Amino acid sequence: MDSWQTLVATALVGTGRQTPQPVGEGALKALLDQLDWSQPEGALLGAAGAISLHQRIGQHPPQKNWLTVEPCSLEDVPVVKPAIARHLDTAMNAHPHVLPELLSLIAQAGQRIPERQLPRLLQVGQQTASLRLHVAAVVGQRGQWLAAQQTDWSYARVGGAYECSLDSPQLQDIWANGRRSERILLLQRWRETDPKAASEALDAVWSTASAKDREAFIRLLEINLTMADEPFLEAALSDRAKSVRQAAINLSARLPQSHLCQRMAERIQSFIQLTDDGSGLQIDVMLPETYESEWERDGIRATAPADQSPRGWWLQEMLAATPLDIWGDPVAAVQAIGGHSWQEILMSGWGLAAHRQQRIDWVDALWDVLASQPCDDVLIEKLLTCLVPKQRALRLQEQLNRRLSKDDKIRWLRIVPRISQQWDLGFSQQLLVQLVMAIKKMDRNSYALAYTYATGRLQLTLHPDLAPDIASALEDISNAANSQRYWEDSLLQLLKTLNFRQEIHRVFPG
Amino acid sequence: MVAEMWTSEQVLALSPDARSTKNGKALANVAKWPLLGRSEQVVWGECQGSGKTPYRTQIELSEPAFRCSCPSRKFPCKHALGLFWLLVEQPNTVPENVPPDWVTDWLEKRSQATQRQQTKAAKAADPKARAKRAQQRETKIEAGLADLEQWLQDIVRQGLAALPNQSYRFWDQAAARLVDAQAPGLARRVRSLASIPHSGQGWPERMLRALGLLHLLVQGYRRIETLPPAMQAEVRSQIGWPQTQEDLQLRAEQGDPLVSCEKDIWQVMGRVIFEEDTLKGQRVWLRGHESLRWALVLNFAYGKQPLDVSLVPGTGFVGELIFYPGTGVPRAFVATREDVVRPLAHPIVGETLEGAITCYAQALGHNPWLGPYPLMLDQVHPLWQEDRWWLQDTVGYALPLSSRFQHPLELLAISGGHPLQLFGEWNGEVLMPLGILTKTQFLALEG
Repeated sequence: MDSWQTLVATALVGTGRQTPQPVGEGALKALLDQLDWSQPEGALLGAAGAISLHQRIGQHPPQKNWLTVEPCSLEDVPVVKPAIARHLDTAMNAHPHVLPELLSLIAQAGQRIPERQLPRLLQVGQQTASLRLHVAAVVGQRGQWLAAQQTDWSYARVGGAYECSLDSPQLQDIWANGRRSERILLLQRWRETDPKAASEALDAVWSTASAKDREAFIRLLEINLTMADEPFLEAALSDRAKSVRQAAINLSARLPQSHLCQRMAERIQSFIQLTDDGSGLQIDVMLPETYESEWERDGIRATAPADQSPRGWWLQEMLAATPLDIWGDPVAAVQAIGGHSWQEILMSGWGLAAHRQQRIDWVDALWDVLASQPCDDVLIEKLLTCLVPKQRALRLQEQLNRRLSKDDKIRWLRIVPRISQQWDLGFSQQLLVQLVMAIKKMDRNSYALAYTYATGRLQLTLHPDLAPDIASALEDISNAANSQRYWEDSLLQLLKTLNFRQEIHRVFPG
Repeated sequence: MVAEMWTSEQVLALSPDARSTKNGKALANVAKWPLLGRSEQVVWGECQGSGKTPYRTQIELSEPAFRCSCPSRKFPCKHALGLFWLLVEQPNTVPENVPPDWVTDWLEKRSQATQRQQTKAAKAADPKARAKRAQQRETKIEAGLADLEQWLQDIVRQGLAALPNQSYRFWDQAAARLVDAQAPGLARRVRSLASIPHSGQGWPERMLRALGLLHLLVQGYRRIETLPPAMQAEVRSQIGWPQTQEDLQLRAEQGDPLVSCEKDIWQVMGRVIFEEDTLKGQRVWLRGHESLRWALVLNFAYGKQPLDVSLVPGTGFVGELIFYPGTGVPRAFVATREDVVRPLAHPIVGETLEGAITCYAQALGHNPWLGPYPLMLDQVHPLWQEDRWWLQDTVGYALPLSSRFQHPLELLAISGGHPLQLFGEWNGEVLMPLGILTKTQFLALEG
């Protein structure tokens, strides 16, 4: 309004310098004329009051007519109870590592989180890639709709495994046009439910995919890997990108019938000979003299680690990719190399092969020897992953209950937290007993181990009902002679997490 | 049973801050309460804290009123919140029982305290003393207003351009003089002028508007006899003339036409907490279910005192409100009420954006000094456009949301592309959402 602007201009410089004039039109002017303009200050203030009021009363909301988004379908899985919603808040605030467990329970119950908590959880998933599939499984139709409105949350459009079919146009659109993180989640879900279709989809886009895409996608073939994937992997051994080639090597080495493994079997004939002269199996080993360049394509690394000789290393690499069946009976083979000068290399090589080829018979044969010797703990873990959960727990229990030296006991106590398995209550209790005994005997503060127990996987793999036992263990330790402060803190942390997990499991039926 | 009227959401609304919410939720666990019990009106428990003796917590469910023996200054404390949640979400864990001594003692003390307050108020009502005080007040205000008028004219004569160079004392001293002149309402307005010269682009317009409004108020008081009675009352209250609840109660009983008393099912639609120097305040918006009348309940607390929490957004009660005399947004206080807390009664009627703004304009016409105004909007969608959030109704009109609103994405999630019924405060420029009504529940948004 011109009248208003004129008034403001005059007010800025002041009535001392400029005389205000009566302004306005129509009824407003008639009103303003009634002011005493011979008193400029009063008149200006009065006009200001009147005009600004006039403007405010006449104000009208703007008519924007913006297009609104397509509304979300109202059909959706049921929302969780308020108690669970509260636990979700607690988890996001104080126990973020428990989120995967909680979200899996919600997904299994076929429920979704309340609308109000969607933005926060979607944000958490955006920041932590490992949570994304879990988040996507519990947001429901409403969450998928919301995710479509914000590019940062597009990963959630992949939805839960229990929802739309993989043929749906929505998912096809994500595969064709989505961002890498979405497509990875989608392909992962695909491989879990229909591996053949997933491979076909991958094949179709392979030649035009970027190196980063190829690297991420090929790794997903690990899910439901079969010989049907072999031709693809063999071709990928010649991929332009090193990371893709490496992934192809790792996957091919798991398939004993693959071309890669067959080639490896041929190679190894030159260096290892098995002979059975009636009095038992005999193994002759000749280390390779030089490194052949054609070995690189099949994954034999040229540079050995610092503490190993290169020739032994090359042999070990070959062993790790050779089909185990060519060595015959595992028990006999392991017996035959007892005391052999190259026993260590052979055991490591066979161990790695057993892990890749998932051969329980070889694991059993190797176990006793490897478990009783100081050896690479990583290898022990790999062997353990081949076993079924019950067997795993049994083997570890055996070791823990043996009369071991303090260092050996600690070795096993260090291994258990690295295994991803939900321990049952019995095992958890036994572990705790052994741990407490070890803590009482420790003569110096073992900070690193305490830290692992407090913050590592064990928080999530121990049985939640262990909580009361931990509480008593804490009392036990704090009354002991040597104060182990790190361990007290560590067990306290463990206790808090287990208490929370106990509460969570209580609200879910069954 | 009274306990069934409360929901988790309402307990959440009582929490003073995020920390208390978090700690309260952690305490909503039977394992933490060695003793629990409830009766018709009250729930109690003993909670093991870090000390030797457990803390005793009790809640009287009708208001609600809390008491806990823990040393926390928060109100309600985390124990009270935890106990409340336990009662609401896992009622089976709180058995019915005879209240122990420490609960019955407290209930008795409370009823005694209300009686004492009532006798005290009766004493202050001596008519002669009051008339004398009123006369003294009038004189002081006259003097203060003359001062203020001169001060305003000086500003305008020198020009607004000089204002950014003025120190805070310039404004503070003028405000202090008004406080001495017993016109605290004017003092507050003058103090709020101080930040305008530094508020960025367009400040001269905002300053001139504020000065003009202040001038209108001063002139209004000068001509107060020429104004209609309701407007007279409004001007007085804007200046800062005090009104006690006992006073108004008396006037209502005597049939004063300016002071109305309304009985209705009053629904609590939203709550905004604000701060002013050392004072904490809250605006609670009520709406009569039958009369569709709005009422604003203002509460204050000094320093660390807690604010009144008896009016919980998303609930209703049957009671009588007494309205302050005035125009525009009616201020009221709760004179009497039933103890029972009810869930919101439906249907709850709202308006289109255009309709709501028209009501606002009308209210502004009756009261130029109108503060925040309640809007109950039907069928609105939240949208992000032009770098900010808006609400658009089904006819295409849009209102901007306040940039201080913390939960626009939650609003979007709850709407899901469907129209919402929403309650908020409008200040003439932006809307602050305070509550969402869906078919099944009321969701309070922190204001």
